Amino acid sequence: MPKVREYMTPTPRSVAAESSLHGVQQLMRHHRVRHLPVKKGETLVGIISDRSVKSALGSAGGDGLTAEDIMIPDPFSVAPQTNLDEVVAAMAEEKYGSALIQDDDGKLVGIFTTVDACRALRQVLETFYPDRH
Amino acid sequence: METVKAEMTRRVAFVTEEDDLVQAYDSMQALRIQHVPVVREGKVVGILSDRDVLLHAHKRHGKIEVRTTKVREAMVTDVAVCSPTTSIGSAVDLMLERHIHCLPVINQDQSLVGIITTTDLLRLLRDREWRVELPIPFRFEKPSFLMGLAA
Repeated sequence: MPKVREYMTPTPRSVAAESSLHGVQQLMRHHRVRHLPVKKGETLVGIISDRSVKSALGSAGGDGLTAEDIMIPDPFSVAPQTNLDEVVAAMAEEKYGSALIQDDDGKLVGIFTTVDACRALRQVLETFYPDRH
Repeated sequence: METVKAEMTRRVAFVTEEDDLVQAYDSMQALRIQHVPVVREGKVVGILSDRDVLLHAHKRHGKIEVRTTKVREAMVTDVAVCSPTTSIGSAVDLMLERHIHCLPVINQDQSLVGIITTTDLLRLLRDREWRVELPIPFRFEKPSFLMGLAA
């Protein structure tokens, strides 16, 4: 069974907890990502999705809000050696848009999103059904 | 070839252009879905995501209030669709190319027959049989030296 580390996006971009909402929005736009892990120092403390940003921007423009104000704390995270099927099962069941990948020391080493899952599925189809996908 | 037909959700929740936006959003939240096709006379004319609603809304006391009232004002009309016979690979390609998370499935007369989302694709990946028996790429032949021993 393949492991999630084989399909994750390594060394993902992240934001500091004190970053402004507008800074978060700019970072997402610039890098064309929908999920940003939030850190306090080197500690992972949450995740922000573009849904959270849009929701917060709708609330009086989001002035004065920081990443910490809008993040989802205790994000879904797994170890790099977790089986891929376990990760996608949890994402499908709980409707998570991403899984954060942390090593044994708690260091953020990757992110696995639904886009990565689509790419993984594409690779599987190409491997097993090269002429028929 | 694996097709969309086998993996799509057939009982599709949908809204119309004239539906109330807040009601549509509340229904999506209750059903735990993030996209609904917008249908006019059975045909898909748009798609509404919870993200689209949030762009037109603000929250007050935990409830959303919207600046617009009708689905028509928040929906996206440039909709990528597929058919039941589209291969899963092509559907995945289209989603990746368009940066979208769902495709309404329409039949030949353009009517809505299902929807396929990234959640369906996650389940497909989850259930994938990874230990597939691949065909052996060579033919067995008797080693000549064994033939000599047998003689």
